Amino acid sequence: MSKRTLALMLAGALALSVLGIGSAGAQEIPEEVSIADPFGDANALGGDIVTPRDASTVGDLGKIWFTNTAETISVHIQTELPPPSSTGSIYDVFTNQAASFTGYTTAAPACSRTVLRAS
Amino acid sequence: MFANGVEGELTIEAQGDGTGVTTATFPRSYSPLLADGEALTTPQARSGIPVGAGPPVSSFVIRMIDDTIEGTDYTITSGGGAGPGDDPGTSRPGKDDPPGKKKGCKKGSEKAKKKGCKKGKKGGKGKGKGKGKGKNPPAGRCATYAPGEMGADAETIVLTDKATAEEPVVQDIQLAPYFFEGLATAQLGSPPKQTINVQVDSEAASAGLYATFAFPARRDYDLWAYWPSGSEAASSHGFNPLVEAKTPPPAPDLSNTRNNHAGETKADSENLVGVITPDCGGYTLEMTNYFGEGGTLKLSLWLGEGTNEPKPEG
Repeated sequence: MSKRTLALMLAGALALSVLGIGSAGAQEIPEEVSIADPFGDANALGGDIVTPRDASTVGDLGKIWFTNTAETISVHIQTELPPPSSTGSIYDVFTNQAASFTGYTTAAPACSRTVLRAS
Repeated sequence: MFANGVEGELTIEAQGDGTGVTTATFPRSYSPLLADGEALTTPQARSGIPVGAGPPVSSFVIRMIDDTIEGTDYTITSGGGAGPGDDPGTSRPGKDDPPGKKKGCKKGSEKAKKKGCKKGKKGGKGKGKGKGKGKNPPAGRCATYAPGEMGADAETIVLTDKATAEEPVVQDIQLAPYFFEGLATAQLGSPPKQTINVQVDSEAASAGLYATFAFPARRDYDLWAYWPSGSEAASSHGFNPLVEAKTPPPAPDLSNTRNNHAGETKADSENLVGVITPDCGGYTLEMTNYFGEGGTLKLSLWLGEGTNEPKPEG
């Protein structure tokens, strides 16, 4: 397992109501973040390409940043709207240029996962 | 699927401005790569939705919604980490690059280019073997290519040994924008396509046909080669947004690449690889836009070492 192939993989499984997802306590977004993607580009076209065809709000990525404590590491993903409980969504964050694939998630709790994986 | 992973905790918080923040937290004890001093470098993110009727999870197809360019590094420290030192809105690597030329994609393109050159060198050897056999007339003496119905109205490009990986014949391909993956064609229209005919005119008895149909990364275009009868000779038709996912069997074929024939799908191109073609033989190539802006795209064609037999003509 080399450093270059470490992948931080997050499959955000959003069965919100079932999993008791954290409630609406607003989180402070730091001024400096690792990724700042514009809203309005949820078009599956990649990068910062903005088109009129903005297909999603809960899938529209904004700022992404990391934090850690002595025991844990966290990745924070801002989206244009909070993801709902009615449909599944998937968020992947990769690091060290690994190109692994994420997991599957649905609103069904049995399929929901939040996973960190090094490969 | 998650055999090598560790599960974490997920929270979702609504922000005062209406946005949401999803936070996933994991134990650092999972990996020594999460120790103090280690860095999470070149982060990149994407989002998607599962489409399908599962569970089981294997029945789902992931449709990508959004992705990002590479961001800045994060160094893990016992004090809580060291974030990026620059304003990510103005100084991230690749931020100011034009579409399709962002840092990661550029690397991929260069890699692809180098790989193509390697094939070209091999092709040169193959061509040399062909010379001197005396079985074929000099290049340029092939009868006019006779395409089937599919290519009846299409232009024919004659490829000679002068077309190499280093100096391919480059053909403009014009395709209309389309973003519907061939779904609901009655309402949304059929995927735009263009056909051209390609004839091999080599000094050797046969040559390998190489083709690279290039487009911005993670759209979805296809490249097929058809016999005059209309049956498939070769194909490169993956779902480009997921080709980097690496899902070998028994995982589902999410990138739809396993039944490419003599083809290689990349995030930013579909490719035919060394399709063994007899001198004066040829195919009708069809390029289709399933999800992309279309416009003027480039199809590069050259001859090299034949490495893959085409499918038998049906």
